[in-house]
Amino acid sequence: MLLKTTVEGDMLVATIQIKEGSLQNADEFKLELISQISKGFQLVIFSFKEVEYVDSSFLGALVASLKHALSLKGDIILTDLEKNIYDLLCMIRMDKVFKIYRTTEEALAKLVMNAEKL
Amino acid sequence: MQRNYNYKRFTFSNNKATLIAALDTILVHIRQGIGNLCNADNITSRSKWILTELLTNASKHSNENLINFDICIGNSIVEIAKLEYGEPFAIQIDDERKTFPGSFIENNQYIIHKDDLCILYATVSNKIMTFTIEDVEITGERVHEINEHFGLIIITKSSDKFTYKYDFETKANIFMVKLNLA
Repeated sequence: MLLKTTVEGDMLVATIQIKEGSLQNADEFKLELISQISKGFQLVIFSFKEVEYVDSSFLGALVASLKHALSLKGDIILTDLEKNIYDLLCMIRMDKVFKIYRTTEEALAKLVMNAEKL
Repeated sequence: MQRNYNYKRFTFSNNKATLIAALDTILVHIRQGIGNLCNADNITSRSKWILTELLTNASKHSNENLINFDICIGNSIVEIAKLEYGEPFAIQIDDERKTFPGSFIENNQYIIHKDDLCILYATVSNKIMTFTIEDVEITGERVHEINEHFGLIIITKSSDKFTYKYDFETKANIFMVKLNLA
């Protein structure tokens, strides 16, 4: 299992349990992501706090999963990105594609606050 | 000023399991070679992204057992060359598979990737393909139409110059990246 999950209200927090997100585990990662998204959660927060390195295969898996989530009217949020990974995502403009928060706690607080406003 | 160049060749097995070790070995060499430059962290990060993608690309697309990296560190530049032996670079453009260099017309610019974020071009001149990228203006808050293949984009964006050529004598595919140190 590459993901450790907890349920927070109607959101799923999935912490990625690998240090290196690469070609070696991208396919397995994609299957697990899609399986989690398909459980019906509107929002899935993926925490990268254990992840030190990602490559294009892993990012491709992440984008495929986002497309799957959006097709189900859901969404994916990324949190706890190491600076090197955040810089890489910004360089290829993934910050325009994914919602990114500094920490999982910050994401949860903002999302709960937004839900209360509705 | 006298120019000093530090050149070293690294040879690795081309398989998924050895990618990380290969990456670390070359990165340590580059980090030591560039020393205490004020932008050393930036050069190291970009080198890491470039090497990662060059290694991943070889593991995905080349059936050859060995892969060579030539690293040249000068006073003002780092050059990273990946050499692998096999079929020349080929890519699908507009439903047509184009193989280098025959299918490419000299001095023509080809769009090899396009989505809502960027356009990746390849231009062939003197039988050398040069990759360049252009960001697409984003009008809405969020982008949805995006490709899932980022390898060439990451290398092109991380480098100051990124080229490819095929050596017919040695049958070597040579991907060359240049990083300006200044």
